[in-house]
Amino acid sequence: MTEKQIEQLKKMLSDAHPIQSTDELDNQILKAARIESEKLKAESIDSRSSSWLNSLGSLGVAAMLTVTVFLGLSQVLSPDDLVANKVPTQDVDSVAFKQKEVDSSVQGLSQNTIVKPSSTQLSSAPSKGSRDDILMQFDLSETEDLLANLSDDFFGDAGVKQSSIRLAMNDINSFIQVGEFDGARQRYRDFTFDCQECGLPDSLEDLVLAASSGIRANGSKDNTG
Amino acid sequence: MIHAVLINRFTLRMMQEDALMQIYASGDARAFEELYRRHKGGVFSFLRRQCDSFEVCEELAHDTWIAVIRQALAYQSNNSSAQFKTWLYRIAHNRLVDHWRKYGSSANVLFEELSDVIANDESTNQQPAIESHMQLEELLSSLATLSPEQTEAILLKIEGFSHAEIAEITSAKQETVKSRLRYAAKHLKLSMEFYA
Repeated sequence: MTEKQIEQLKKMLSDAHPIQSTDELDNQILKAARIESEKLKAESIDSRSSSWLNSLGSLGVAAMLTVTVFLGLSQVLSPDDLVANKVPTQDVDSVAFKQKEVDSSVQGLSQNTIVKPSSTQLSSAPSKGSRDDILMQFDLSETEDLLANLSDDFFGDAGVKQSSIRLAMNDINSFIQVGEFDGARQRYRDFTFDCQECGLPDSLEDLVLAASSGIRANGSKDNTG
Repeated sequence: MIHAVLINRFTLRMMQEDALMQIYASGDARAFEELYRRHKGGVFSFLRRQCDSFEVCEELAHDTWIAVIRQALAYQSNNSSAQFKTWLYRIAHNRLVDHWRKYGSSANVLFEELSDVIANDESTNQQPAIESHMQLEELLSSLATLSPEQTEAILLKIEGFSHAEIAEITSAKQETVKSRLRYAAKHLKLSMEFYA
């Protein structure tokens, strides 16, 4: 069949009354899915626990093998053989001196750790600068497309949805263009407040990352046949 | 990799279906709800247009989705490269074929549905053209001559599947699918041109 014919037949069927299942069927299926998900969750936890136990088991075997090898070696070699070189008594002072050096360097290390705690925190929590960098990736049309993919039931009326998305995204874009990142964030917070049930990402950075990453799917629209 | 904070309802709506199945297989029921929301209408229409009883159709839809639920883990391990939608419709097709084997194929509900569309169309147009009326009659009589397999191939094509995917769903060769569609097109062509 040609594409044109398919499109024509599709149009005819879309003119027909929508075919819908009953709410009772929907409830039955979703209830079954929830019950099964509990089992799947339990299985998932079990499999994670068993893999953890397996790795513990492997560690145990490795430890036993190590002990066995040492015991075997101790049977073959005398204690004197296990000491490479006897330390001459006149070198005791120098060893003590080196121990002092080690002590002072360890103390220095611990001081460094106490003096600069923020260096470790930076790697785990993004700085404001790096969060601003994320916002610089904001693409107006891409983000609008992503939000437009949401079904109308998120926003109720389709017209309201389109206009509120466009207005908010344009405002956010304007803020970002002039470097007013906090203004953009505030505008996004207002936008999410207007539609609390939409389940939008917690932050504007998350939204930008979602728009620019591969999680956008063509199949997200309703497929009601 | 998607950050955990993004896995909320918004993200689920944006996610690919294979990923949703994987999330469901790890025990998150919301991923199934999203899959069901996307495809419940399509699957139900596909079945309804091929079986005459609404109750039977609900039963087939129920069995199809229960099979999806029960095979969630198997899907993760065995069908990671398969498209979810193709897999889903193959399950629905199998349930339909089982039904046909037990009770015989049903009257052409698609035919009835299009009859209603055309009847409505005629009632809204005060003076339908005689030529158009004849072409509509021709369309209906052409549809009535199609075999269940040809009707199913058309419905799957309308649903957006490729020849290869229809072949996979119906366990037929691609050439067979093409010839079914060619045959259907040959019979419907004149009438279809009317509805441009």
